[in-house]
Amino acid sequence: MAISHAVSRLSTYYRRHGFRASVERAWLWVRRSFSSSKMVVFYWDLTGHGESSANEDLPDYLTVERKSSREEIDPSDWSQIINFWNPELTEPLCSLRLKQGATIWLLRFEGKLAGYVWAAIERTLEPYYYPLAAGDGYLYDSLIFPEYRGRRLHLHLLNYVMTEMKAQNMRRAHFEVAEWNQASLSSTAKAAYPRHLLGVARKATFFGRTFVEWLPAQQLESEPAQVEARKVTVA
Amino acid sequence: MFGYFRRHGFRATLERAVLSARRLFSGTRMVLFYLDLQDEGFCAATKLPDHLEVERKASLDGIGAQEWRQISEFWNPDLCRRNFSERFQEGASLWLIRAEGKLAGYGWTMTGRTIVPYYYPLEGNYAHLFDFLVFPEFRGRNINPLLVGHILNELAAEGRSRAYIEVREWNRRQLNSLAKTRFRRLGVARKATLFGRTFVEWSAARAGPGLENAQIPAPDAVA
Repeated sequence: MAISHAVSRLSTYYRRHGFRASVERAWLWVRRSFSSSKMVVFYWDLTGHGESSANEDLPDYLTVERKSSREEIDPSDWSQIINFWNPELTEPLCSLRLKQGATIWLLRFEGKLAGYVWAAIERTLEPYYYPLAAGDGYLYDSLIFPEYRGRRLHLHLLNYVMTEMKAQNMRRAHFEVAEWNQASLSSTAKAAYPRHLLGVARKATFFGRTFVEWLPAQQLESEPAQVEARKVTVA
Repeated sequence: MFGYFRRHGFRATLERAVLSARRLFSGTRMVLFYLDLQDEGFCAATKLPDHLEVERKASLDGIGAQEWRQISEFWNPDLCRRNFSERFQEGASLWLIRAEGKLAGYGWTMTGRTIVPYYYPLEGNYAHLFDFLVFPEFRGRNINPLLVGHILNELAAEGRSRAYIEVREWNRRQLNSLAKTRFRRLGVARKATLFGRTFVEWSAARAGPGLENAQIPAPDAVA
């Protein structure tokens, strides 16, 4: 299944971007597969306050909508979401997530879909690095479409969703970022809630059992952006 | 093993060795529990029954000679002293529970960190409860849940946010005892640490009845 997905993704990418870009993408994927499957796992403490104000209103040009079923999502938004990657893989995955109780939060920039993030409450749809507890929310698979990047929209979206989660008595929002993704690691440290880094881990699931490897803590502490984040204190 | 043989004889030692081997290969899974201590719903027993008292110790010196003998001779005295000293040095607390003045059992807590790597890195103002024992002559009197409940009260009063505890999956007695507390099941896992890396296997939970959510008994409900 994983191989057929990879082949399908690569062929779609090739059709859209051509041979050279596909080779570069495949090479990047190989490099990440072998050396960078490690994820930085952390949570935001929704009971505390981080670098910016959690009560900060969205700018006038931004709106966020929560959708919990396929029917609630406008067809053009749905099309934009599933066609950004490989629709053959994305459509069933997104539909399954909604059926299993996940919600998708859509961010609009002047009315146009600019990005989204998925959220689940007190459980994850796939085995996580550890079981979630009561009061735990999980944010995952966030995306800002390329034309809207560089405007801190991701942070606005995360802050908004976390504040909504807090209003639902959630205490923590869990998240993970690939270790190589320094941009995302830096950006998530600036959220409105204090970020607590748990560790660097990788995982695999076989026959219903999830195997997790937690790497030594010093690997995490050697990252300047993450050390900075550790200094954020709980109010 | 040698200490056990001297005390219990050949037959008991052999049985114990077989049991250890069985548990080594098939029973290393732990059931993990947690409890949010600052929840509005958290309301443990506020007072122990009159015949019980609990004392918290932060060093070996604080334990009376007779009680230390009782604790250390229950297992291997040399190993026990080394183990207890290490834990105290790491900052752990020992909670002794007495029934009508006699030492009935004990349990350990560590706050803000764990003695050995946990199943996942813990963060925040938490407490880890571990290694609880009720001496055989005091078993069946609900002492362990009351000790756990008392400790949870104290930790909550200290402002600790969450407590963690784990029990071996085969230990039905401890699981039943824990079912009488408000702890909630987190998962079933086993772990190993090699070269500073912690490997954890999470499996589907197989818990007995009442383990999802249970109550700490009120003092007057205790026999």
